[in-house]
Amino acid sequence: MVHISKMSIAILIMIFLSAGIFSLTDSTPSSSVNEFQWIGTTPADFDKIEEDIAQQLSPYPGIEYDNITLSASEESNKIHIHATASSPDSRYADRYDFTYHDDELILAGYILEAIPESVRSEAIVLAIENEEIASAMDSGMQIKGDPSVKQILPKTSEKFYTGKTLISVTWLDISISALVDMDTSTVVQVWTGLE
Amino acid sequence: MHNKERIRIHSLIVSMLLIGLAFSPVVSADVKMYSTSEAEVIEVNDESILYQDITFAKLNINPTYSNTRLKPGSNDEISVTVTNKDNKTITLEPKMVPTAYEQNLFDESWISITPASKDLEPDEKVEFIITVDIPEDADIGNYGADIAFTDDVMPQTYSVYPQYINAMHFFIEVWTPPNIQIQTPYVSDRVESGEVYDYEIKLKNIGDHDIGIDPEFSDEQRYFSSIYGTSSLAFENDAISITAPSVVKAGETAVVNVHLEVPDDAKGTYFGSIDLDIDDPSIDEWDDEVSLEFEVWTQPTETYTKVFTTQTNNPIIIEVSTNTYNYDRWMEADSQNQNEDPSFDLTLQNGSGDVELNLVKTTYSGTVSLGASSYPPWEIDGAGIYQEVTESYVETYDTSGSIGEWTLSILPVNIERFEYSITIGD
Repeated sequence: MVHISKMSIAILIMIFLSAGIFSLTDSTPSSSVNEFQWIGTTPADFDKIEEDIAQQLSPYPGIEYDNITLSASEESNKIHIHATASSPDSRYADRYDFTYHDDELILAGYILEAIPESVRSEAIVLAIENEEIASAMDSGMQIKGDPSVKQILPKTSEKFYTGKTLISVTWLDISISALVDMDTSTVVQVWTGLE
Repeated sequence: MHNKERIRIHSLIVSMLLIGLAFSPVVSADVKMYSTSEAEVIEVNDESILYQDITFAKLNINPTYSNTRLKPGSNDEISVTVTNKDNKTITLEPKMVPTAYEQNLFDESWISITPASKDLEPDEKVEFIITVDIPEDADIGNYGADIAFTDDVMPQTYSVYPQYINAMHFFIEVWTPPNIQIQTPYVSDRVESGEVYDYEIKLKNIGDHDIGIDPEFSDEQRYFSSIYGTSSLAFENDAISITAPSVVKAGETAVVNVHLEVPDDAKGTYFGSIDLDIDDPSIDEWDDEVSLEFEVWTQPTETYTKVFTTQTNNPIIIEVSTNTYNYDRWMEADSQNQNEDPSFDLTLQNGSGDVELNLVKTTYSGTVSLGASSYPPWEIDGAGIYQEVTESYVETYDTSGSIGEWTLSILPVNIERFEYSITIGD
């Protein structure tokens, strides 16, 4: 019995190890699951562009794009590409602007609003609870307006706080915005439109 | 006493009297009655107080107000400088004294002041250090008191607490990071009479222990004031039912369900609030309320009519427009309310009956921003990408005209507010 048990354990360990190896082998890079759809003219080297774009997409943790539409326009040997990425996990889409020149793709701009609803709600709550924003709202400003909630990428965040993903909650109608660090649940910067 | 000093004192007394009057339960034309307790009512003649001279030590206290936020178990030091502006030596013996209208009064053991006393020569200054130690078991909330440096008090008699002249006000908010996040701080929606709506208030327990809740309607906000006076609510609380678990487990998110059945005859706006009654010391008594605001909107069945007269046979051009209002988009995920597209039903009549209106143009317009200066600096990387700020919808009709009286009837559909224009001639 003891011998059989040891054998069983060994077999089980082998099964688990094999499963782990196969699982790791099967894990697909997130970029390869992206579905690209070109609208209008498709550039000649679209394969290379798609590959590069896939590397530069930055969906918020928990967001998986199910559809990415691309549109391109060419000017002075530069291709301007606009990407709109949508996810079933968010009502809002992420939008990226790229330029492609000399085989190099550069992220020229982005508005990333595809954020899980729970994160979005939590970011708004953290912003509302901020003393500066709360006092601005207490002073009679209308807060009924819909705040925009956007992901701020590390390369932008490092100019204002530190190089990590942050969330921007903005009431544009009253020129108030909070830059929120969701890891620490803190508002790290407030913009009132005055500075 | 110098005139300037007398004026200052009189101003102070008048101010205190005005404050006292605001809280005074009984006021007559000549004699004020100030209630200090149930057993004692004191009558004071205004004249006798207004012109009564008082003497007191003249000190300059800096700062005269301190506001600090501390957690239970923490401490802080506040520095106060007192300068003798009198022409005699003044003995300072700072002590904590209670004041009126505070949520909580300090326990004397929380505060120590050094030096305990000081004989201050004319023009001499001294720095006092007020050390505040908040005990671990302190209740969170707001605490206030005065630090009085001398025993000089105002000659008022209407307050339970003496009003010290040489004092600084001391305010401390004792707080702890909340163990529970109210992820839906308010529910606001436009609703239709006769319809049913469901909303979710999400509570996330970020602490390490289960937290009890017992949501129920708050008694506050039963009525609201508008520029037209006090109005009644669009409907009563019984139109809303609340269901919730009794506990939010540690690390989990619980949902308080709010079910609204808008009565058929509801008009106006409902204001209310739900007291979540969160049983956790990290949540202040007043911080666990979720406000509710429902504006009852009714799709009209009657048309709006506009009678106008034409003096020529020129064509008539009618334009109706509305700004689409994206009503609380971020809260809408929790409701069943999905705004539908706006539209208009128009009819035009003259003396001969209905006149055919030709829809010649439908215009969707909006304001689109490209970011830059109107956005926060951390969104500048979005500059150059279009962002729609406002949207509007316009329908334009025309018909051949004739001299006479006309009646335009407009039925707006899914529209809260609209504009119209009637143009005779091109």
